[in-house]
Amino acid sequence: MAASTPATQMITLTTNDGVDMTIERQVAERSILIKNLLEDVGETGEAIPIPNVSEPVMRKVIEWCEQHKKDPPASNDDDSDSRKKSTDIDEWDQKFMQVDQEMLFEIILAANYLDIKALLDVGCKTVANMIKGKSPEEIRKTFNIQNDFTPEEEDQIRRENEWAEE
Amino acid sequence: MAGNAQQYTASRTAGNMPPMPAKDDAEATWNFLQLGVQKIMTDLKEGMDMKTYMGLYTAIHNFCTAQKAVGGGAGGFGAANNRGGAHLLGEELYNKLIDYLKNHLAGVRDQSKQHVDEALLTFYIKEWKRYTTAGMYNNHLFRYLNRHWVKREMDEGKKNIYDIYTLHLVRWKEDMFGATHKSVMDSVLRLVEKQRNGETIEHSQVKSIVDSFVSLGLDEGDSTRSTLDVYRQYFEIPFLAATKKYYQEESRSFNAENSVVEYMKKAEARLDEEKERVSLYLLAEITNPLMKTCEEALIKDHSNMLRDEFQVLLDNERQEDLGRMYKLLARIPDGLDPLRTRFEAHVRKAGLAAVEKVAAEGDNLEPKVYVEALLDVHTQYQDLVNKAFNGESEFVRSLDNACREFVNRNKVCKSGSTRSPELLAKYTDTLLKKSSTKMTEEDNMEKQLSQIMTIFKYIEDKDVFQKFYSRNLAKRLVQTTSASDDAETSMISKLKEACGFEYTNKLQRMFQDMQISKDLNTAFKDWQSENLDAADQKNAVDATYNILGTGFWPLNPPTTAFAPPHTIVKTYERFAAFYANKHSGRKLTWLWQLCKGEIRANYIKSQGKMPYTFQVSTFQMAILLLFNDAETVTYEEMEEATKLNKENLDASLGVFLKAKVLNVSPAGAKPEKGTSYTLNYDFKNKKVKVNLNIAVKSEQKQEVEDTHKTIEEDRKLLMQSAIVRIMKSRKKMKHQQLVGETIAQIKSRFSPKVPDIKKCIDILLEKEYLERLEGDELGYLA
Amino acid sequence: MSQLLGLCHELLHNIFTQLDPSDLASVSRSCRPLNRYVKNNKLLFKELYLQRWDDPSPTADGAEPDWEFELPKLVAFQKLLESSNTTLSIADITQHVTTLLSTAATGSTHSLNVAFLARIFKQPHTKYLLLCNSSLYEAGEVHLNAHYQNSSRPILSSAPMAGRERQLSAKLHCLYGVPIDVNWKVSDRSETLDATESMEAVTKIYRCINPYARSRVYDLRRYTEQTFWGPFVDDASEHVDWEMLESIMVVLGYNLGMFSERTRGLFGPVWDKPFEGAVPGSFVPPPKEEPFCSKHTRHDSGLAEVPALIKEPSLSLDARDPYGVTGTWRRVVCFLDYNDFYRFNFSDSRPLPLSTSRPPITTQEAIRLITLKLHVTKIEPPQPHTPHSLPTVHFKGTSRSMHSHWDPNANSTIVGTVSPTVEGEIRWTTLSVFFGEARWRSEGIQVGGPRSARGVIGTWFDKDYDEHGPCGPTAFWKISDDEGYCKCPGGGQEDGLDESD
Repeated sequence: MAASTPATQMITLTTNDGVDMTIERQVAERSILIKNLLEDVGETGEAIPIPNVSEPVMRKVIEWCEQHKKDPPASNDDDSDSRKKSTDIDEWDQKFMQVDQEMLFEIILAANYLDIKALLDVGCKTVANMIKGKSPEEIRKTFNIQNDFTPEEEDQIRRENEWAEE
Repeated sequence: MAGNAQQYTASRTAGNMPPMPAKDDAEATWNFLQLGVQKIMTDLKEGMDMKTYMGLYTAIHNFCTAQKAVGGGAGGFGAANNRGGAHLLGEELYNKLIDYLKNHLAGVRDQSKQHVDEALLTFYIKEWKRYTTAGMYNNHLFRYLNRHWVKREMDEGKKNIYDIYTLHLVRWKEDMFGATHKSVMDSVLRLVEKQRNGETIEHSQVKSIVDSFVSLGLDEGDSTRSTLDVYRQYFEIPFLAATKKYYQEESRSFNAENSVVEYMKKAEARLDEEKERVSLYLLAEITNPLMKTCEEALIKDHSNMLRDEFQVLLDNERQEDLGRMYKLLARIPDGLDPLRTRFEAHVRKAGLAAVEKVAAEGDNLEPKVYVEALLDVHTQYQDLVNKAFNGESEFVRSLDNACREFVNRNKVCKSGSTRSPELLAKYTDTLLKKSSTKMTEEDNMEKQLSQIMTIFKYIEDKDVFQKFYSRNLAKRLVQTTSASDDAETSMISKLKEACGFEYTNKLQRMFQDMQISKDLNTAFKDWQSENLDAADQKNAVDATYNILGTGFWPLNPPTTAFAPPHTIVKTYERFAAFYANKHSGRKLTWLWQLCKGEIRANYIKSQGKMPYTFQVSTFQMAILLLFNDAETVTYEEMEEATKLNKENLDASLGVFLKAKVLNVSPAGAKPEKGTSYTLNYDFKNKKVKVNLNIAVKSEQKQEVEDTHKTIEEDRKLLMQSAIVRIMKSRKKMKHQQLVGETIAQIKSRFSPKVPDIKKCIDILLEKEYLERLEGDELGYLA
Repeated sequence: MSQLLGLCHELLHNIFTQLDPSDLASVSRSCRPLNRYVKNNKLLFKELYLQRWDDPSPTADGAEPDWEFELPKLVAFQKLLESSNTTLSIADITQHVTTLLSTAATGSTHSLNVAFLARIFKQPHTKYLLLCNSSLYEAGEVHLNAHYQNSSRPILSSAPMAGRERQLSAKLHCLYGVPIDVNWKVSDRSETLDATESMEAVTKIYRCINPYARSRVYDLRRYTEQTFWGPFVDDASEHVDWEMLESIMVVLGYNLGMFSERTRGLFGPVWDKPFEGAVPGSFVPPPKEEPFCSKHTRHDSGLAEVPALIKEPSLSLDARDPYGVTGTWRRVVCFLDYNDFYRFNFSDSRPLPLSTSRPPITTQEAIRLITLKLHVTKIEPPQPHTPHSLPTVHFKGTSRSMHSHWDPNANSTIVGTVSPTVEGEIRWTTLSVFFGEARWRSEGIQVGGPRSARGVIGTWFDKDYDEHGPCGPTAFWKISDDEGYCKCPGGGQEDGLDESD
């Protein structure tokens, strides 16, 4: 490979199932964890162990980071202003999130661990959209939840939540 | 899933670190973390490998995410934990970290006790840098804690919970700063004192201390913001106190051995130096309080000493030192007021002295000498105000006050303040008169006119100036002695600018009349050449006429009867007819006393064999023309023929006798009945043209008195019309109030005296313009 | 095993804060763990609330709002209004609206509450049925329900409103602040009506409201000692007569709209955004430009002049004034030609009972725009029992017409007071003084509460309460905190409003 520009510096990640994955530093730095690590430890050429993420999930996460590598850098600061939250998910992300529920939750866990806020939000929004407008029974069905209320409890809780009825 | 990951991690990191702790065991997790934190705190320069870094981060993450929604029990968000299911994990780690930091800082604090002065500063700065660097590192490692547990605690309004970096600062402030700031600050102050004493110091140390103090200013309400409170209390206050003490002592000892001027130089230099100090290593925020402290110690505490020197400097005209004093005292509140008072008194004194000097000439005082004396003083001190006092408006005002005082009330004006405007107007007249001097170059003239305006500005009796000026202008115009139309217009526009349209209205009208007259004369000549037959044309006297609007010109009709010589009668009657034809209904009054002409003396020849030409007044002309019909003319015959009164006749004859144009018989006889006159055929003069139209000194004096008299009259009218105007709009008014308003209305023209106004009010009461009402009130009668 | 239930708290929080509040009810009804999670989860409710409405804290007692109570309350309110099948009384609705307005965000941030209310009241059935139900609209013979019966929409309430309810409808309309009188503002029609709505029907209804409003505003029978000659109920109780205020708003709004059109935007439209400025403290001073208009000192003579003393701002007074009086205000005054006015009021052969309205007035009125420069002169501590313990503030200033400044009647001194009414509304009383002689009085209510951007709406009349008039509507609203404020240097624009009428 010819002398590359500094922008295409490569980073190797090792997943918890022992697979090395080499990706652009810019892509890897969508993760604030990795970004901070590279800043603090410095570029040693060492592979970065990612003890909490497995290869299939990592591939998915990297796919997302590749797609979003040109996005403005995620801010290192807190993510407070909840007013700005929008429930819209862009088209590519919607398609990206069309995975089975297990993978969806794995992506959310990984994004949370790796500190990729935008991906975490897309994941959570996707779950939220699966809840929106559903009845309790539909929610239980969607997420494989047992109805563990007694009928009396159920009745009481329904009355408590009457305000939300049309 | 998570379980797998954990096992795997544990085996992978076994080589470098202890095995990953169980994720819900706080004690084990902290023990695992402590090794890493220890390394970061004390040994970061050795570096850290990625596995360790990831291990530490992961341990914290796993600990914080250990609780699940299901399961209830101790770990779950069950009913037992009634914080609305909002309980997040992390508190144990946070508290352990606090303990660790406290412990670490106790060690640093102990070590610091071994150092003093610069060594202490070096130690403090080194530890501070190491500690804050570690703090930033830890902040990253504990990021998961920051993102969730810390954030949640803060959102819920918990006090004393900070993000991990801020926590480091808080601990430093509590466990390190509290015990050391005093000795650190003492060292800083000793260092600064060294520098003030002229030694070279390491600035960067002070700068680092300032920065570290600033970093500790945490806003209790909002940890994302910082305040300068810590810095203010522990740096700024002691720093200012030390500064104050230093300069108080220094100026005391310096003053004991040096002059005031030297002290001022010293203070100036010190103030510059302190300002420089701020940019070198202090916080910009200290500029104002620091300068204020220095100003107090260096200037305010010595302001009386400085002010006492002011008069000395003024007397010796030490402009540069005066400037220095101004700059120093301008820096403290109310520092300059006493100077202004003294300056004003000084200028007034200088002005009065200058006038005193020239006043020795008495009535013969040349207007030019007087005006220049006034101007010199003004110029000198205006220059001082501009150069030393920065042209500051308050000093300009003091200068103006002083000038107004000595211009209007000085030795020359002893008899009354009208002397100044009178002399100024006379001086203006000399300037504007033809060939008064050779130099009348355009810009020079302009400059002199501006100088006149400088004095004019201070004149209180502007009406007096106006009166004299308009008389003089009238004379210049009628006698065509004005040097330049441009200069005249320039002067009028200057007056207009200063006093408004009304003030110069008449002056401008006079000017206009002259222009209209010029056109009229041209038209008259055309008319004559068209309408006169050849004989008439031949006999016509070549004449010029000026038509002067009554009311605009300060001129009076003749004081004597007069029968014009028949030679000119035809000529002027023809003009009168022409004029009446053009402007029917207008009445012409001939101002014979101002008319003049030239006659050729055919009976005698000059040396160049040319007949003499006499320039004479019309009165004189009438007398001389009598000798065309008789060799000898008696006084009675003259009286009879010219109808002149004795005063005018005698004056004209006086000139003829003095110039030896006429002989009197008997020789040396007074002009009176029985005296007779003959032409002097032996008349000799160097010039061919002889000016006999000379005003007599006593006439001039009379004129000045007349002018003053008219001024008094005008003032009365002005006051009365002002009173009527005020009453017309107000209908009712208290006496005292009316007097006040009247003064306000006319003070731009002159300063009226209260008794005069009262007199005017009485006149108006008498004339029934006003009436007395209840109490002290006056009413207006339409 | 559900993966959803396996998530840690922070992740569930992230997911649930993206839901609509009503979904939260379904979630908590799905199973015990989620029920426990949602129940008492203050922060979750708080976040969802703050996404939609302005932060109401700190509440009057300084306590944190009960988010789990407030959020469901507003969700229910919204749902009821949207369903247009509400059992909610107009009193409840007014209560909700005033609460939302009193807690709305002020300052530079855009208020979520105002946007929310504007959105809700944009729906024609809400807008017309709630806001056009005062006696004014009845006098205008507008039978809303009749029109709506023809449409497929359900009807809010078919019974005509009673007196108290009409007052509340008028009050809502006043708070809404955009006079519903579409004659002069075409765009209002298209924006408020669905395509399915019959355009003509609605246009016909509202075309003619302002003559009826005028008939009320210029009716001298309403100017009595009992009403304090102002917009108050005719029983000396000092309770605000919102129906009167509504009519004044409609009349002034109509005239201001016409004026804005005539001056081609030189005088921009006012009162065109629903609920905007009906919020206490919502006046925001314009960005500072020149702090002072340049004043030239006159030079009458060559003598040095004493510089004019710069007036020290009376900080302590202004700081203690809860109404923000000091500053520059824009005032509008309308009046009928006195002949028209007299004929309207005095041509009956025998007195008309007050219950009978006078005929609508279609005659054009004159409009005057005025700049007021006011400053506080005195503050009296609150009376022991006044609501909100508000003081009485006295002020003084100048009143200068923007039209014919050469007209001596255009400029006057103005004095007055601001004080709370028994109901806690902000009452402004002014007196205009010409050359030392008082001539006009005015009585007004600041719509939206103290320091609201909307300003004061009310009546003007003879200073001696002359029963022959004249009288008319007036309003003023603040444009700057700076008493010396003028919009452009030299005041060119201020003076440029002369028009040939």
